[in-house]
Amino acid sequence: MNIIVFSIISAITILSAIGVISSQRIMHSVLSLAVMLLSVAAVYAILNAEFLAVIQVLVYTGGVIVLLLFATMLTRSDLQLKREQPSDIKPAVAAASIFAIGLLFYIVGNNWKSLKGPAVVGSVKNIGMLIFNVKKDVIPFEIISLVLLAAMVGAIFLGRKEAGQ
Amino acid sequence: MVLEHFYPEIIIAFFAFATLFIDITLKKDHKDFLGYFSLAGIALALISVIVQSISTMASYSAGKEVQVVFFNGMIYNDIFAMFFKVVFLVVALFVVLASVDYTRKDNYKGEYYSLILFATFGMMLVAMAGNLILLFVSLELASISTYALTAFRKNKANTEAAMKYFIIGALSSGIILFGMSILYGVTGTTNIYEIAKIIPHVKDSFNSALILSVVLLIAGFGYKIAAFPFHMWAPDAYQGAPSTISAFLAAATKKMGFVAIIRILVIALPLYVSEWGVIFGVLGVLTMTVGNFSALKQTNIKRMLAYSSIAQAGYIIAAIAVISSTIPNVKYLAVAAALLHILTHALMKGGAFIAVAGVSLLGIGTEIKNYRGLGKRMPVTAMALTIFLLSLAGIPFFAGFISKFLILAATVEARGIYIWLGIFLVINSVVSIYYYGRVIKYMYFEDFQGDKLKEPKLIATSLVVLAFLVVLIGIAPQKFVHFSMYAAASLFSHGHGVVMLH
Repeated sequence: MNIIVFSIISAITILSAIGVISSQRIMHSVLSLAVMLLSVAAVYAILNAEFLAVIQVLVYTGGVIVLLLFATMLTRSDLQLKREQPSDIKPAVAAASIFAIGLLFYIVGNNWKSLKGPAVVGSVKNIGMLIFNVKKDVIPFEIISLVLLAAMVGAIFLGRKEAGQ
Repeated sequence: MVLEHFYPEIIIAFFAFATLFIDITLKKDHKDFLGYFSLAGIALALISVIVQSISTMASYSAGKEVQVVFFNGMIYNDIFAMFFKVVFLVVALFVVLASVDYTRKDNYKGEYYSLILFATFGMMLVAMAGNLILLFVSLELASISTYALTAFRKNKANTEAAMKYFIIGALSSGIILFGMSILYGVTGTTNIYEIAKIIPHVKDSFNSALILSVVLLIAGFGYKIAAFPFHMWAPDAYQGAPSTISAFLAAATKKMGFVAIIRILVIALPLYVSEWGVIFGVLGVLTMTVGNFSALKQTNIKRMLAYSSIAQAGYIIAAIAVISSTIPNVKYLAVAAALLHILTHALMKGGAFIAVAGVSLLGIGTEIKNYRGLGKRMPVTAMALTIFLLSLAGIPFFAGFISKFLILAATVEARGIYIWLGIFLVINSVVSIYYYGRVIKYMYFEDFQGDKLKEPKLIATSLVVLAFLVVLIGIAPQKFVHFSMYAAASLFSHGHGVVMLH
């Protein structure tokens, strides 16, 4: 049962990912990206990582995609804008394919089920126990607040308007 | 008390926040105060790290156990970490001192100084991280702060440099994360020291996965340390960034990649030492050769310094490759040599970029031909720049000679194929004298009619102090070599046990 659901969802993920890079119009790319991110969230849900699935929907579909849509609408007067095809993509395609095939061999070649895996799964409760425990991951969690502050200061710093502009 | 071990970090984090708050209350003409304020914070933190490392070294020699593992293996505050913290804080100190002059006419000083402090804080945490998650998060803290700093003046050059640096940086962070996730997937833990214990018990069938993880980690950190073939971003970013930030990037941020890769590979993956030893050996030779030969034809001094910093990274990578030697005790010498070169390179490259900042502040361009007659026009700056360049070339009685000599000694001690690393290092050093010497020739031996210029005081001060340190390490290196030996020994003692000295 699980394997069927998983195959359907991964097929959707891969197809929409191809859609992101191949569609001619920017709007179509953004919408394909939304579908892709949602189906990744579904993969997380199948893997019992409910918290991650919820966050994926909240942050990516709720935040990033809306931001992308706004950015596209505000900066491009012409929504029908055609994408410029890069002149020579063959070397990049070759390098990416070699890497992808190598990864595929390594994923199929290893017996991942023989590993013990983490003792806890990613439910909200377990993640809460991890990030608020001094003996576990509280320090990286606190440092992330500094990362956010630095990113915010940096964004304001970059988004400013100089007097002459 | 646990907190007393983290005074330097607490001081830096406090001053980073305080700079932001004080910025709001200051009038526009008084913003230079923020520079002096963050300078005070960095100086305090530097003093407390130095006091901490002296007392830790003393307790080690007395045979006393010192607590270095904190928060269940999240943080390892050993001498190895302290050594890097000294490097980062010294660089930050001089960059901030020079920035007070360099940014006198700019706005947004509060953000500028607090981002430097945030970046320093992130780098200090990377040096101490004993856990992959903490390491990655602090790496991002330092990277994000420096992306923003690169675009400080928002002109075309700055923005383009920041864009390139950001895209390459984000890509390399993704590659690093992929490598880490494989390590976690196979071992089930993110603690670097736990991974080392689990890997011998992992089945042979996961060999390929672990080798892939080693390759991804080296590629990802290879971008951060600008090793060949991941080096193309560095000249563009260092050339386009404001010169003080170029100093910060080349002297400090780059070293963050070294501390992370040394700790992960040496501690977590010693079983794969022959694999990563070969990769590092090849990368080291290629990096130093490509860096030096590209530097030969540069006409812009910032680009030339960027390529020279790639070449110098090649020497450090070669020293890391020597860790894979099987001869006992050579790995200690190799790590100590790498660390000492990291320290001396930080001083000389930071100093050279600060000198460039001082020159460009007076309206002289960054093309090498503009440096004609600088010896008469800006005597202090030209003298300091000469000392840094001679030291980078590895001339005796300067710091660069001592650390290069240690690397050479390590390759010779390791015997066998490692000697080739030493031979390439010597050949490359000879090649590099040409392009360092060319700048000196322009400054002192080319006629140029021009007035003597008034050199910016604070930049001149930081140059004089840095040049003094470079000469000091060149003449009396014992204390510094001692420090790096202790740091190397504490890396291999896995957080406890008595330090070996030889």
